[in-house]
Amino acid sequence: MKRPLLYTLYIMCIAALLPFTSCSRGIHEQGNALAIEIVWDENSMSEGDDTDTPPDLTGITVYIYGTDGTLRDSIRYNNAGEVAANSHQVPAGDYVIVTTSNVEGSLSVNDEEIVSLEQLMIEQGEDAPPGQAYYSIQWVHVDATGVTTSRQELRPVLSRLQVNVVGATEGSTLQAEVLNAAKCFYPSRPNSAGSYGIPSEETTAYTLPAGAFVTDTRAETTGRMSTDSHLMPTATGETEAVVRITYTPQGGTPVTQTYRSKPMLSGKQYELTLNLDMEIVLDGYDYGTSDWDRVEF
Amino acid sequence: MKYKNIFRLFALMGAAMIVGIPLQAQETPATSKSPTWYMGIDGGVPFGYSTFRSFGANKTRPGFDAGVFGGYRFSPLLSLEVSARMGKLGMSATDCCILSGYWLGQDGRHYHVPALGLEGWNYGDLKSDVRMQEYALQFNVNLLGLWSKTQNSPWAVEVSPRLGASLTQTDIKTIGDNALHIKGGNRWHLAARGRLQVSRTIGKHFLAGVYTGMTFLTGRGIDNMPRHIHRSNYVWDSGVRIGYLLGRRTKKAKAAASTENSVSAPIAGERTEETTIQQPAPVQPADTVVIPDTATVPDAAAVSAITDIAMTAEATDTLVTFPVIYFGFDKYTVATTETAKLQEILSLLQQRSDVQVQIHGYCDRRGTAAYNSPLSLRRAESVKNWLTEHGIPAERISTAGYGIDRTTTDNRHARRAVIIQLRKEESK
Repeated sequence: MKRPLLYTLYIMCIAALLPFTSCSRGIHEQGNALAIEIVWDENSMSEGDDTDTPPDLTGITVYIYGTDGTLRDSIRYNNAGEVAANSHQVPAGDYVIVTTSNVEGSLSVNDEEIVSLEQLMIEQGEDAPPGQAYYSIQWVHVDATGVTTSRQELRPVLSRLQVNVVGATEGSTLQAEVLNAAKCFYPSRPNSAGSYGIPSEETTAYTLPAGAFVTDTRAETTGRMSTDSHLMPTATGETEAVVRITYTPQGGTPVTQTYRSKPMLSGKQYELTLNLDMEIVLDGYDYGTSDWDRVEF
Repeated sequence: MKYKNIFRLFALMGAAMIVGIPLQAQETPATSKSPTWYMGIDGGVPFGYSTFRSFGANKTRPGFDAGVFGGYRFSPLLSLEVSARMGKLGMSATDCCILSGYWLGQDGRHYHVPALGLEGWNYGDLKSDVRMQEYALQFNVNLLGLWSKTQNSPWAVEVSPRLGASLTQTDIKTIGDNALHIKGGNRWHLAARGRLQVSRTIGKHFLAGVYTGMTFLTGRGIDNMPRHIHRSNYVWDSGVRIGYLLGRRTKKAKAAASTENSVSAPIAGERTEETTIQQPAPVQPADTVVIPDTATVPDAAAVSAITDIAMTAEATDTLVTFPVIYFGFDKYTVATTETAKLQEILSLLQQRSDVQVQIHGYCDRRGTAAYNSPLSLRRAESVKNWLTEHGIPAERISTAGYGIDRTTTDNRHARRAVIIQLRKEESK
C-alpha cells in the first residue's frame, strides 16, 4: 500500500515542478525592439483628398536606414496588421524609417538592389493605371532597452486627374495626356514645404486611359466622355501642369487643345471639363485651387 | 530571470526530496492518528498570473473561491482527497506590457502598436474577468508525521501536490466602462498545484486550517489574452479550510488497532528521553535466537499465537501478563520512560520464580531485513540484560529477534520487546 502511494507522491511532485520551467519570463527588460505604427497623415488626407474612404493597405515595405543613408534592413508585409504585430530587433542608435505601401500595378520601387536613402524612389511605368500609393518617413532613436515605436504617417504619392468632355456624342474618342509629370518620386528627399517626399525634376509624358462614353441624363442625344487616372505629380521645377486633350467626334475632325494650371501635387485630385454645349468653353478646376487655362496648341 | 527559474526548480526538487527521503529511511514513523475519512469546505482569495495579473498596474483585483473536499487519511503522514471548487478573479495588465504599448485587436491578436483599420484597445485599458472551476485529486504529506515527537500532535503541516482539471471562462472588458469586448468560451486546463497547509484537529471530529498554494495551468492563458512574452499561467490562492473527521475506520485499520491493543500496554505519554543511536553489535548468546527476517517475520498466525498467550494470561493461573517495552526509532537501549515497566516485569519474575520467559524483539518496517533482524535481537537482549542485572538468573530468560513486524502499520507499536511466559513443556 505504501509503495504505490509513494510513487503517486513522486509523480505529483514532478508534475508540479513542470510548470516552473515556463513560469513568468519577464523578458520585456531584455534587449530592445522597434515597432512600426502606421497611421494616416491627417494633413495630407483632408479636403480635396484623393480618397473618400481609407483604402486597404497592401504590399507594405518598411526600410530601416542608418542615419548615414545605408540600408540596414527592409521587411515586407502583406497588410497593416502584420506590421503592427511584429517588431524589429535593431542595435540601439538613430535610424531613418521609410515605409511604402500599395506600390502596385505600374508602380515600382527601386529596391531590387540595395540603394541609399537618397536613391530610394517610386517609379511609374507604362502598365495599367495604378491606384494610390503611400509613403512615410521618420527619424527615430532606438534605445538600448524597451520598445521604440516609429509612427509612420502615410501620405499619398500620386495626383489624380479626371478629364471630362460634356456634350460628347456616342462613338467619339477622347485622349488626355499630361506632358510634364514627374518621372519618379523620392520619398526621402526634403521638399519645399519643410517635409519629405518630392517629385523628380525629370519629366515624362503620361497618357491617361482612353475616355469612355457615359450617357448624360440631361440630353437625349449627347452624353459625356470621361477618363481619369492616378499619375505622378507635376515634376519639381515646373511652374504649371500641362494637359493636352484630343477630342474626335464621331466622323468628325479631331480637336486638340492644351490646358495649363498650377502644378499637380501629391494626394490631390484635379478635374478638367470641356463643355461642348457651350461652344467649346473650357471649364477646368481642381479642388480648392484654380481654374484651368486654355492654351491654343 | 533564467536563474530565478532554476532556483525555483531546485527549491521544489529539494522540497520533494525532503518529503520523499524520510519515507525511505530506516523506519517508518509511528502513528497515533487513526486512518479515517474526512470531509469539509474551504475558501480563499485567488490571484491570477498570466499575461494579465491580479496585481495589475492600476489596481489589485483579488478574487474569491470556495469548494468542498473529502478524503481518507491513511496515517498521520499521508492522506488523499478529492475536491471541487469554483470562484472568480480579475486580472489586468502589468507595467511592462503597458509601457511596451501593447495593443489587443478585436481579432484577439496581440499587436505591438495599434493596427490601422482594426478596432482594438491598449492593454492598459483592459481587464479580464475570469470564472473558474476546478476538480482535483490532492495528496497531503504531513511533515509533522515524520518525527515521533510530533506525529501525534493535533497540528498538521502538510505539503500537498495536487492534479486536476480546471475550467475557465474569461471575458475581456474595458476598465473604464466595463464594456464587454471579447467573450470567452469554456476552456479546459490541466491543473497542477503545490499547496502548503497548516491545520489543527479540534476535539475528536473537527479540523480547521489555513492554506496557500499555486496552481499551474496548461493551455492558453486564463486571462484569455494572446500569449506574448509572458508564459506564466498560474493562480496563487490562500484561504481557510474547515473539516469534519468521520472517524470511520477500514476493516484493516480496525484489525491492526485490535492486535496492537491486545499485546501492548498503553503508552504513557511521549518518549522524550532519547539515547544516542548505536549500531547493534553482533550478539550470540547461547539462549538467543536470531530469526532471519524473510523467514521469521511473524506472520499473522505467529503473532496471533504470541498475543494469545498474553491475552489468556489472566485467564489461566499459570500464565503471567508482562508489560510490553517500547523502543525509540533505531534504538535498542531501554528509555527511562520504560523503566517502570521493567520494574513491574522484575517484580513479577521475582514473585514467580518458577516462570521462565522468552523475550521477543521486533522492529518497524523502515529499513532492510538485514539491518532490523539484529536490531530486534538487541532490543530483546537489552531487556534481558536489565533483568539479569537486577537479580533474575539468566537461565530463566531466553531471547529471540523477529526482525520487522509486518503485521501492523503502527510503527511506534512495532518497535518493542514482548515478554512471553513459556509453558512448562516449552521451557524444558
